[in-house]
Amino acid sequence: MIAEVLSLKGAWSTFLLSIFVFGLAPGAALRLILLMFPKDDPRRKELIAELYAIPRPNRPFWVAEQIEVATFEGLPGRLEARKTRKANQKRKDISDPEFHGTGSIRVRSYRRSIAGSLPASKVTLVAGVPALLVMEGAPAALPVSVAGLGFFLFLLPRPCEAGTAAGTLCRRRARGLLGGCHNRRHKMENAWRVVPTLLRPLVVQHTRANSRTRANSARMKGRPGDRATRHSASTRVTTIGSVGSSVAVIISLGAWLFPT
Amino acid sequence: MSGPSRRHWGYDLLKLSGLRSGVLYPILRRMLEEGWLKDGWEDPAEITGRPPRRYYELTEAGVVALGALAAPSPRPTQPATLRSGPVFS
Repeated sequence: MIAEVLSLKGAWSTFLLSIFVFGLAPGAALRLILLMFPKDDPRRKELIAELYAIPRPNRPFWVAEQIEVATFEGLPGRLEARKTRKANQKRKDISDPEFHGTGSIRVRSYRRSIAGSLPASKVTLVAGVPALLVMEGAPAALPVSVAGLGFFLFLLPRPCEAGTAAGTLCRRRARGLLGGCHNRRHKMENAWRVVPTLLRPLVVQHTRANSRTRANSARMKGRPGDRATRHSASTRVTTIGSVGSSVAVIISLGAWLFPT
Repeated sequence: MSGPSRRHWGYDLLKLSGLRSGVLYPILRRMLEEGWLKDGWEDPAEITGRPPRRYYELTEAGVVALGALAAPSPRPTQPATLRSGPVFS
């Protein structure tokens, strides 16, 4: 009989819709609604547990009712918890000797600038240089790849991430793989990190990379799972971008010097 | 709460009271804060196929407080004499 019903016109779409409305949607919607409650609120677990005890036909309506509960009971607590967390974070940041931020708005805009610059830089690197190389030849691709290399080495915003005396990574603002924050030692340390091991003795002879810089750089390898010593995604992208654009420069230079 | 010593869970109370979720849950929260109710969770070892539910149980203070509310009033609540006619004359 079920087979006959399903063979009717429009039966499958109705069947699938009813599975969605009475099967999948209530649970998914309820979990989204529960995000309005504070993380440690027992109401989150309670309502999930109750969902499975409610008869299936009543579930969509019961879930819709929970929007009201969450809005008036959960959301104020969630907002309060967020406010407290931000205030604690700000207090912690200000007490941190490595922090010299000037307010959450500037920090947020800085984060936005990082988030915005990453896709653009990746697109430029992955698509721009090879496309220019093929379409316009080496004379056009070379300046673009050099500009890309400069962007990754000196301009892309990221945290400084030089090792601090406390054994953590510096979180002040910096630009580019070679750059550091205003602390001169941090600049040296970041620059030192990109010097290949074979070249390091040569660099020590001719620069002011002192022993403390070298020791700090070697020490800060990053402990897995520890946020304070883990390098950020933007630093990883900057590193990959620098390597990639270096390769692009070499290829463009090769194509320019030795045209086929 | 139909039986003072019984444990109830939220949906059960919704059905018994006929209230909506948006009304009942804030009441339960306030009663918990007042100490009229205590809550707990079902033992996961005793149940299968569903998550443990949160139950509510009346405390002694809750029984006393709700008993006082539910007790019949010694005097009729309606005023003995109601004036009819215009209020301002």
